[in-house]
Amino acid sequence: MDAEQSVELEAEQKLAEELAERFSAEAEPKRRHRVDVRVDRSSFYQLAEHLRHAGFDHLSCITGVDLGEKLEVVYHLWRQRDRVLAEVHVELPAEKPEIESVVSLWKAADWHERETYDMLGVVFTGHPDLRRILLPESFQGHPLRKDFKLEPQPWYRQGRAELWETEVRVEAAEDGETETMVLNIGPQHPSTHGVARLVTTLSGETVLKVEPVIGYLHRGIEKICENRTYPQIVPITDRLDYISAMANNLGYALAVEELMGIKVPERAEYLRVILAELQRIANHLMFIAAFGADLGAWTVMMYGFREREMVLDLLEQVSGQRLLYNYITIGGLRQDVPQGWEDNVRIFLQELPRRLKDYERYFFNNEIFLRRCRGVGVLEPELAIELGVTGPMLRASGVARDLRRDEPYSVYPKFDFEVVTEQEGDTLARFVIRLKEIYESLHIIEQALDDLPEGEVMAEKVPKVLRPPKGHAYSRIESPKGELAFYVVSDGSPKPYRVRIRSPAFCNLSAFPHYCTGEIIPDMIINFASIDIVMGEIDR
Amino acid sequence: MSELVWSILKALVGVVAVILFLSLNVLFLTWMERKVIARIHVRYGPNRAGPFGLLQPIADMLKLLTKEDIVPEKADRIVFNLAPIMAFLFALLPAAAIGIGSGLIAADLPAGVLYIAAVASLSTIAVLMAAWGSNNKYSLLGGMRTAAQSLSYEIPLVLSMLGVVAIVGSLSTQDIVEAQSSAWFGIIPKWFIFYQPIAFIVFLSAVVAEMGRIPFDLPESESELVAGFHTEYSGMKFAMFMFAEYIHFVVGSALLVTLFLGGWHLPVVTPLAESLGVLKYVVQVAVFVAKMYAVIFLLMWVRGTLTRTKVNDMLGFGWKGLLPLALFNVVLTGVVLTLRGGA
Amino acid sequence: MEVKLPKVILTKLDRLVFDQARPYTMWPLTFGLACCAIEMMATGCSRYDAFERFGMLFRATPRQADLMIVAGTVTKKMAPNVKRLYEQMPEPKYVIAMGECAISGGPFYDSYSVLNGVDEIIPVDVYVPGCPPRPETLIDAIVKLQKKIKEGRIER
Repeated sequence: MDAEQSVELEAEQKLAEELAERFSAEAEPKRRHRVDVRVDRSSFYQLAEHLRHAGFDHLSCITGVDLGEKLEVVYHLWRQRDRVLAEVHVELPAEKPEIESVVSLWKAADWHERETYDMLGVVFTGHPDLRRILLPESFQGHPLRKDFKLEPQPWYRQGRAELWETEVRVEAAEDGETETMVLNIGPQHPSTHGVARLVTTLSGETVLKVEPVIGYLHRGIEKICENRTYPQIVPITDRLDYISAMANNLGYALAVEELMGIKVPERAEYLRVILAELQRIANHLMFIAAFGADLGAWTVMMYGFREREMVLDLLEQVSGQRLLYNYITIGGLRQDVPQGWEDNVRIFLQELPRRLKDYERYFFNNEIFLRRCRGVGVLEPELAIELGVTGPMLRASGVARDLRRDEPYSVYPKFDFEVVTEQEGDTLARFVIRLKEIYESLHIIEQALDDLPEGEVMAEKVPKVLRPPKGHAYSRIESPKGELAFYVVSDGSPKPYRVRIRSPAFCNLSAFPHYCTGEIIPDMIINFASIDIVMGEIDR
Repeated sequence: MSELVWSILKALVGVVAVILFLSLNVLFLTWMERKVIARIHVRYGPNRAGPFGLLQPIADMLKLLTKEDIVPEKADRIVFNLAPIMAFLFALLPAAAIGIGSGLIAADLPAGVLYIAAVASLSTIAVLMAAWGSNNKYSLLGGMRTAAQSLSYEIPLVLSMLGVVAIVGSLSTQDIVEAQSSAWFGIIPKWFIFYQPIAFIVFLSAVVAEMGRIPFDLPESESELVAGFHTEYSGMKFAMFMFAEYIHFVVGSALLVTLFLGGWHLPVVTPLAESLGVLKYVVQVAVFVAKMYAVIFLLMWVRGTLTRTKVNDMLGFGWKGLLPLALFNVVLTGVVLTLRGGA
Repeated sequence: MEVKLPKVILTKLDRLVFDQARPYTMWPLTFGLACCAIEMMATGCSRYDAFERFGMLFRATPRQADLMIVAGTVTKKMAPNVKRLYEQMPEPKYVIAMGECAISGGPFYDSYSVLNGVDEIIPVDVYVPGCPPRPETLIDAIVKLQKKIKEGRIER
């Protein structure tokens, strides 16, 4: 057993030794795919630079944690080659929290650093544009600092609402000669999928510059999580990416289970996979529907929703809810699936491919549709990785990365499935990939149903009040939109010390301004739609 | 003197009849469109207001009539207020020269087709006025798109009519319809759709673009420009734009029927109806309206099926696709007519 | 000469004719904030078709809308926009507060950035409970609002 584990951790071990030697960092392999690195602020940048050149090309997340006297910044860096995720911890003094920005190494760091600055007040020196991102500039304080307390407002406060006026910082062309125009798309606009806002600089209909302004749905979920017990957070995670709530439940449950060392029963694992894949199908159908609406094809919208209702029925049968399920929970599932549910799923598996044929006929024989999507918003693979893009969007650029295969969780290794990729990287590829992923999901569900074991669905010895031991866990799953990760820090109390949510759509959206300039408005709109954003998880 | 009074009276009756005919059709169309699209969407569509939701247009009208009328503070008030009225009036104008039965026409102009082509493009001015007067960027973009669209589709539209005009040798819509009255073997109608298939396709595409419907609904594409040029209009002014839009729909379809589908002529039926005296007009109108609604239904079907085009595709299609095709058709028609005339 | 109609007649006309027509053409604003917006869309789609059947047509611009369905969490950052959208709508206008968040802040009641109910900034006619409310619940709210308008119980 020991020997086997050491072989397994070979890559991790090697990296840890190397870092310990060169940067006098405390580094230890934590488990497969994870290396914990603690480094001094002075040698942090060299370490980051080294890692960047050593193949750590994907910056997964930047997190800030308020430790009282110190502020800790945590970087999660991923190397695809040997599938190692380095977790770099840097401690900063709370009175002067300054650290070098890594935007020059990973472009993806841009929004992450802005958010950390916004929420915790960590100053990243050398960041090109360090402004608040979720909260308005006028906001006082940093919500995720521990001295920022949540106080429930009195329930009766009619007419005394405090509003945050968001300043429009866009200055019009001054000299009167340039013919640019600033168009403010959103926060209420039919194609912003919620409350995103795009400040667009136009020349005629050509887009010169886009700046997404987010935070219109910022509910402070990360702060709220610090004020709830572990099981109470599960329903909050539902409301992140509300189109694929099951995936959020799963990601959070995995993080807490890792912290507590809970082993989930096999039946629950299989059901989790089935549910997560059903959710992926629902999400992608919703994507197709919304994409159709943005193209002006309302029929597609209606059809997409009609098919999605079939999935919702299945999920409703297990959880009693249509949209937000609160079903996958820490230690397993809330309850077993009802009798005969498997048969219903099988009927669905039979039915959906038939209906998807209609979609294919509709889209791929439609010259107008193809002309609108082909070659629009091409995202080069190198740039995509650089920008931290994940999920279907990355795979549409031809990069075969899928956490279900690369960093397997639950029982995914037991199933045979393909990581679908497309080479073009344009909007059409991003559309096609979702359609193909539905087929893959159906395939996985079929296998899982065939091998579905009997037994319990809830781990034994999960206490009512969860007190995970001190420590931290970073669990990543392949949500329908990309890499969804939960970083949970425990201090041994029933409430988590810090919950950080790495939302896929946040990173995918942050990439948007980098590759959409030079397009005309209609192209930009469908390009934007092809990211598949959900504001709930972007703003959190 | 009495002749003058008589002609004024006749003109008035014509105007009232046109407005009445169009209004009734528009009201019905708003209901029909929602119903047809709903059925394509596997839905029911309006069914609460009255039987089958037939009172829906009335309810809409009553509501829009009593809505608050908002004029944005920074709008150009005169232009803003004038635009919907102009749009409405300009939409009515072409209808005057389209007959729905032999003699049932408000103004049988000798240059009917030319007149229609001329006044149909006027509504662009109203749209541009609305776009500019609203002082709204979405409106402005929508207006600009409308102008570009009208300009590029006006020419193929007119050119595609040329072939028909050349065959008939008259610009009057009455003459054009009469030229399509006969039939081969008494059954297969001699409609111009068979003589001028290329022109028909060009005309159909161009007229859809002129109407601003999917796949060419760029001026008010919801997912891009919110509501296009009428973004800032509320209540009755918005209703006028809506009305104008549906009038375009009716007129466009009527023109298509007139030019290519034999107007009120249907083999077997219309020759039989000739002997019915006054009732023959009823039959003619019924045939015409039935054909018109067939075209309308086709266009609704298109709307339920296709996606919206891009701006540059729309322009490219107009200039690089339809225009050469229309020109080719004109030349072809000319050559064939000359050869036949010479022979 | 100025013709003065007795106020009673106008009120009666309004009540008897227009208030009977209005419930059937409440055009909602295309406007979703969060999770509830997805259920709102589902309500409008094939299975429920609850908007088109009642004569409701989604309009993307507030100028042409009569009904605002506040579907989702209203944050303090979004609130000024919600208020402005409401002000941009022409009278008579109605508001449905859909979901716990729009009613009271819901699961985020103690957050630093969430408004405790949209009724702090705009008047609400019908509240729809649920997190998120099922489409049936929203249909019920629409019917309730129709009844309210028909009976002339909308107060401003």
